[in-house]
Amino acid sequence: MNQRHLLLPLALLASGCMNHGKKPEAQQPAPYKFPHSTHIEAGLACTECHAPVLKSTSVKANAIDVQIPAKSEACAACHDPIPTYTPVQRFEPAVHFNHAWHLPMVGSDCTKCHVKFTESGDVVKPVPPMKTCTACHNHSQDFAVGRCTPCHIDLNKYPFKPVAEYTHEANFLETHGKWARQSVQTCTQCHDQTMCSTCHTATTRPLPPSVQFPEKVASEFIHRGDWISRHAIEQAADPASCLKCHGVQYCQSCHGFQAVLPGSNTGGRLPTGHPSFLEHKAQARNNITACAACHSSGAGAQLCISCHSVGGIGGNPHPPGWKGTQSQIGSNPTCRACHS
Amino acid sequence: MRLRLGIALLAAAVLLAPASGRASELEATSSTSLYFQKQWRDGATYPTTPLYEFISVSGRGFAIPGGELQLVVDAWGGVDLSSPPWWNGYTNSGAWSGDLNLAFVKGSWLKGDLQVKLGRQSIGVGNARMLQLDGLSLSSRFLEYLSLDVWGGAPTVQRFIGWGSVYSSNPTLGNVAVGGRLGFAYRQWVSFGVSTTLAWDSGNFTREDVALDLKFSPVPWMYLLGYLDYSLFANEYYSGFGNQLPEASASLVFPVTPHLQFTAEYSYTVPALLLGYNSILWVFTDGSHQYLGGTARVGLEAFGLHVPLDIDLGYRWIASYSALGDPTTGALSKDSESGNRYFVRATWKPSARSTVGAEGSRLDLPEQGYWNARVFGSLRMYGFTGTLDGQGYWFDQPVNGNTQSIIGNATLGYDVGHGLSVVGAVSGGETPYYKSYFSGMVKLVYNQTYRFREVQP
Repeated sequence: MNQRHLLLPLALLASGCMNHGKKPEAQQPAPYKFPHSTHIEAGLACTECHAPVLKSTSVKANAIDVQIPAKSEACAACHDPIPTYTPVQRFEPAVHFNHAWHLPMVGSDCTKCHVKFTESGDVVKPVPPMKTCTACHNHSQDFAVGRCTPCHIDLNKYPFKPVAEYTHEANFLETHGKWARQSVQTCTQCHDQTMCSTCHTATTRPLPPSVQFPEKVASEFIHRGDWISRHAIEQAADPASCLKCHGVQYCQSCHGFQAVLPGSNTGGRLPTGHPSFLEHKAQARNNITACAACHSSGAGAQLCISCHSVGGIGGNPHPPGWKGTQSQIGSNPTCRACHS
Repeated sequence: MRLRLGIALLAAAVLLAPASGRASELEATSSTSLYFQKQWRDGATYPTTPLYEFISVSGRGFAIPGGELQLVVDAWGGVDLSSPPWWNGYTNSGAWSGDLNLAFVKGSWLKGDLQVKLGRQSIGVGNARMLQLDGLSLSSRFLEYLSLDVWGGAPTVQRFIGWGSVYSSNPTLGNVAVGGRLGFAYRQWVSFGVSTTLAWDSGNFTREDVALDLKFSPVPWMYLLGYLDYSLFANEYYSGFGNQLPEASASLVFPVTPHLQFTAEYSYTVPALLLGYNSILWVFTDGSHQYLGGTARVGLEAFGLHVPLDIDLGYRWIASYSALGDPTTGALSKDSESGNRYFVRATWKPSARSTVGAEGSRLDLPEQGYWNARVFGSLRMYGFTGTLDGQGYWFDQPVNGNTQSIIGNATLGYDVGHGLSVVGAVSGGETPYYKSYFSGMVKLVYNQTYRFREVQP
């Protein structure tokens, strides 16, 4: 690969970071100062200060839905003089919401949804729990198909984990593919595909995750530890699982092209565990994918064909139940490897 | 290769630069790793020292007419400081190498009900098996209960070395692949779909499968997951329904709580049908594998105890069947073998900053097997994170003349702040292939999210 091409992504990243990094938003909001509970207990209406929400049709970033009246009888009833207060700017909305439309539905009782308020010293603003939404909105169909964006703005930033379907506990590593094949869109509500690519780019990635992330000791990496010594054992236990991520050329990159075989330094001796000539039939019938690690193409495949071609000494290799016909030979080049 | 990579990067630059003011978020991760290990080649060991740079950039919230755009680039580049170079997934590619794991733009419209993705991506829907693809995919939901996913392109080839199955280590071989899934979902109770994956290598089928998938959840604490992948290609050459199923499975999942879950699973595979259908080898075989087992997670917190201890248990019965017969003479005998896999793991999290775990497993196959034991722990304090990890395998039969493999790992990381962290790792032990195994890594990780807001007038 050209060195210049390797520098381009770095330059691109640096450029992006520099261009965008000059004006980053403050990650940590200022502490809230207003003691809501004191004012609620005093019987103050929310709209005394939050009048803008009566006409608010969307939750906007940078918006301050607070208007403290300069001369308020409600404030003056307790405060003399009325203290000044600078409202905290909302950082970024998490959901789409129309206050003006919803307020009549709850009889202008904000506590129907806002069950908890910020108090003096709070840094994190409590948001209405999702059950206040689902109390009225039938959410189950959206939930079933992972359609979250009508309400949630970006679940990458505000992940959710209901107990049942979206729990990633126990043997989730083993089962996650079964969930994902039904609707990848559900996964992408929270996860970018870059997360998947940590493992699921076996074709292009140079290091397995277990090597790249040695510090993640609690993660369930399939190839953790001395995988090389036991890979043939695991292949015998579940050959299909290997082939879901790795084509057989992946095996051949070591076993073929680089001659990495036990015993290969002693005159091309067969690898440990290789079946003898008399055993090769049973091995081929039972687990041909192990043979494929070396014999799937090129000279390796020719070794099989040299005996098993029509008229060869190896005889007919087709298993019981084979129903291929002579007429298929013309349409399938693979057949013509043995059938002239 | 240069042209394709250049086009991809140019597209990324064009999309990032002019629209930068409109992006709501840019998430960037950079990881620089210097790795060293002795690697075995043809009877001798050689020191290898690859230096890798991994970059992942995801920009979300670019405004486009009627929707928004996402840009994802996930790539790596490397230089090997020694010779022969570190094996990085394919043939020796010289001192310099690199690849794109992902590089796509995704447009979303109709509040996400219509999504189009163009570029290098992974296709996980239906029976695609997380196919790495250079191409186009479309995902849509309509009429409340229906979804349609279609995709097409060329299966990714590592290091841009060429097209087709002669070179590719992509499990879906070939130079053209298309597929899709039509799905139906009703509430949280049931969803099912039919999918297909077709792939060709120079005009010849390498995959020709259709599949059915099902999820049924009559109650919130139970899911039935079913999957059946059927090879149309094998149907033309093999009799017997079982010989035409690359894979099928049925699982019962009981997610009672995060600390109390159970699964039971049966699966069936014909491994040869996961080879490319243009391989000469799949006409030699008549073998299938079956698995039956289950797992359980039992956490003490599920019983109201304030002890953060989870115990995972697993068992799998493994069986393989093959027909040994000569169709010429008619002599036939069925051969079957079986084995077992056991697994247990205990994870204790005494605090939010620390984890201690131990696990053991046993694989018992007719001709080989092993015992495994592992302990691990991590502790985070004062910005430092340290981990220890030790594991051993004891083989039933010698591997390369040895019956055990023992490796220990230690890492120490420091969170510098502002998204920057440094990790050092060493690993050592004795394995069947290395009398004295040692490797190390120094890693510099930068992980940052930049948020920008499009201020509405």
